[in-house]
Amino acid sequence: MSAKATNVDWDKSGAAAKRKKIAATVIVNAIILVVSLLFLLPLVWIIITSMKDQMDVLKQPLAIIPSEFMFVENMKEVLRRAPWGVFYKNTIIVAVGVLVAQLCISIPAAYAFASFKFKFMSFFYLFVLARLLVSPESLLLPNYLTINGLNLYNTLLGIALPSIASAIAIIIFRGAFLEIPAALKDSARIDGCGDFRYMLVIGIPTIKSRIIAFSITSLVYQWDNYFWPMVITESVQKRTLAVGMAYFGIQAESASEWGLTMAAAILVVLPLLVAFVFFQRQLVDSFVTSGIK
Amino acid sequence: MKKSSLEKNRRFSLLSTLLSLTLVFLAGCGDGNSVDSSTKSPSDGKAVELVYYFPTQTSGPLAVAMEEIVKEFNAANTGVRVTATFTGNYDETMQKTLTAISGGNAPNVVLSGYSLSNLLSIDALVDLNTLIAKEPKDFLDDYIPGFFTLFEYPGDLLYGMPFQHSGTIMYYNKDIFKAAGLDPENPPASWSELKAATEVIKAHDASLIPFEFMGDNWMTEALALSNGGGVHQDMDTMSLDNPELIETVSFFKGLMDSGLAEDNTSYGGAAENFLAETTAIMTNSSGSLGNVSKTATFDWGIAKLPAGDGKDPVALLGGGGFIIIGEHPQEKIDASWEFVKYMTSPEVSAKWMLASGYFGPRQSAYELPEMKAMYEEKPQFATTLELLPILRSPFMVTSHFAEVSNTFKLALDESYLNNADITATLQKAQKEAQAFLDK
Repeated sequence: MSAKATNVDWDKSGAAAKRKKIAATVIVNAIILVVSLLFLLPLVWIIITSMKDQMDVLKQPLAIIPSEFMFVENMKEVLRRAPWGVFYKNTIIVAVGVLVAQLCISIPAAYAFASFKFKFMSFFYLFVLARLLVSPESLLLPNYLTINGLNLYNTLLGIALPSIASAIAIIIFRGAFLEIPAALKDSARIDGCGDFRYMLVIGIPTIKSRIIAFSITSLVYQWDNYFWPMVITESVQKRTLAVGMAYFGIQAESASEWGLTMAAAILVVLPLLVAFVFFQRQLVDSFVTSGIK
Repeated sequence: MKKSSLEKNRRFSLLSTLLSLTLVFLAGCGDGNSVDSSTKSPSDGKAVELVYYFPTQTSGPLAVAMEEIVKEFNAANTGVRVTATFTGNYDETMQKTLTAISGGNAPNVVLSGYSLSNLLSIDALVDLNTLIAKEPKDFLDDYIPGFFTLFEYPGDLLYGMPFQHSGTIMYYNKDIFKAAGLDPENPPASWSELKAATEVIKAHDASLIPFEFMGDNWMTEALALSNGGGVHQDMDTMSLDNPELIETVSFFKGLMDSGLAEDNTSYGGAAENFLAETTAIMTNSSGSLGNVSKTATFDWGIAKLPAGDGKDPVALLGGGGFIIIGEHPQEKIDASWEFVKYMTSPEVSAKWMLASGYFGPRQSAYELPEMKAMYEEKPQFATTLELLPILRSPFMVTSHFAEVSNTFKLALDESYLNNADITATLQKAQKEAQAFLDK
């Protein structure tokens, strides 16, 4: 350690600086590697455990290689216990439907808040902000009464509707629209571009990265949402993946079946994971090139 | 902004703002005057539709088994059609039931835990004695009387029909007993035997946890009752500072302090340690039987909880039964009762006992050939039958059940985990708990 320090003191030539730079890169990458491994570990653990038989999980909880590969057996049992096809279909409909509706509503709303001056604007905006202060739990009963009153109990629309208006999306997109330089808008206007067209053709592509970032959060949230879909639905035909997950991992009066629970977790996580790996390039691109400016 | 486009802008902005605000508030607010859809007119001539909520409290394919049982009911009863809805665990089921009732969408039948005070405070339940009164005189003869105590309330009211029950029980690893030189057919029956056995196990293998128990309300009450104590006198009077209870907590805390026992807050967690053979003896619910029996790869046995020296062992009852929600036309309540009678029939009762490892409510179910065959095959399950005569109901109070339970639990945590003075802590808890009841 001390040798390294004195080494730096000795020599401040260009070569040393270069070496220092390489060392820094190595250290930074090592840290990134360690942190990403930390994030990856739960996922790896899910996969390892899903291949183990119950006794194996309990007796050698830390073993990386299962004493017997039980993945197929576990998966078969998980598939037998719940109608996963129905859950997938419902979850995809709800998650994608909510996202599309959220974008259709919050992008124009955000654009309006960002670009126009109209009466009571701050008053209305305050309402949007106020929505963030209300905790989801306290909305359970009011939402239930509303959805039920609209005769949407036990429907996919009933699951989706309360999430469609997203205050956080309006706030994020408004911020993004405000960052677009005024000059861009002025030049578009000179070319005869109206507001709606400007929003579609210039505004949305410019704030694309924020839209994608929000979309990921929204999709994951709807994908994992458990309690509301459980409360507002009644028949198995209207239930979502997270409710299916609740068939497993029960620990109230007995030991959990960890192998099965983790196999079920794979079923829930897999589609999102595949989608993210598939779209990784576009996602990273969109985060890196946030805004033209 | 240029003046020429101002007009257009304003219309556009108002429109989009209004649209989004409407949706924000549609999502955010309820007006409380929702349509009462629970009183949808009963279908004429068609089957009566019932909604039935069920939780699962133990692992295994129980939801599948339940759906099959309901399917068979629907096939056999053309007049009634039941939709079975899986609703998580007991707590989530209670929350969904309360929400549904407030929303005017009440289910008809719920498989519920025995803590019904929330539902009783809104007067939501049908007194089942009114339905039993219409049945033949010998209707209740085949039901095991002990289970009803969970659902009985002063004034001859009965709010639940027993369905799935468990009792406190001791599990022990016979292989470890043999290896340590203990008699595997003679598990500790008293506290002094328990202490001696745990000392032998500790001496045999110091890495083992000789004994695991749960320092929660349910198990502590069971252990205290097995010491001739208890935690309450009647539904209006707690007794958290009686000498037998103090002695019980002190004894098990003493085992902990000598490294002979551990307090595991999770029943499932203790069962996992037991299955992994890191724990030699544990207290648990008989609801764990199914899972332990399916998973264990060693020789094991069950026995009654060890009792205080010279005292009689007691098993504390737990579990759930069927409740019928009242806000429905009589036709639906009658159909609900038909469904409940079917679910508690000896055949269904046996089927559920086989699937879950719980106690069923019908005496004759235990005599059915499939049950006898199971007891033959799994002698541990047969041992549970010894619990039936010694089952006692957990304490119940007329009001403030949650606050009283919480006071008790906090006192136990202080005693077991924080090394607080046990007598003083329990005396203080008694004062606080009684204050809630005297309100």
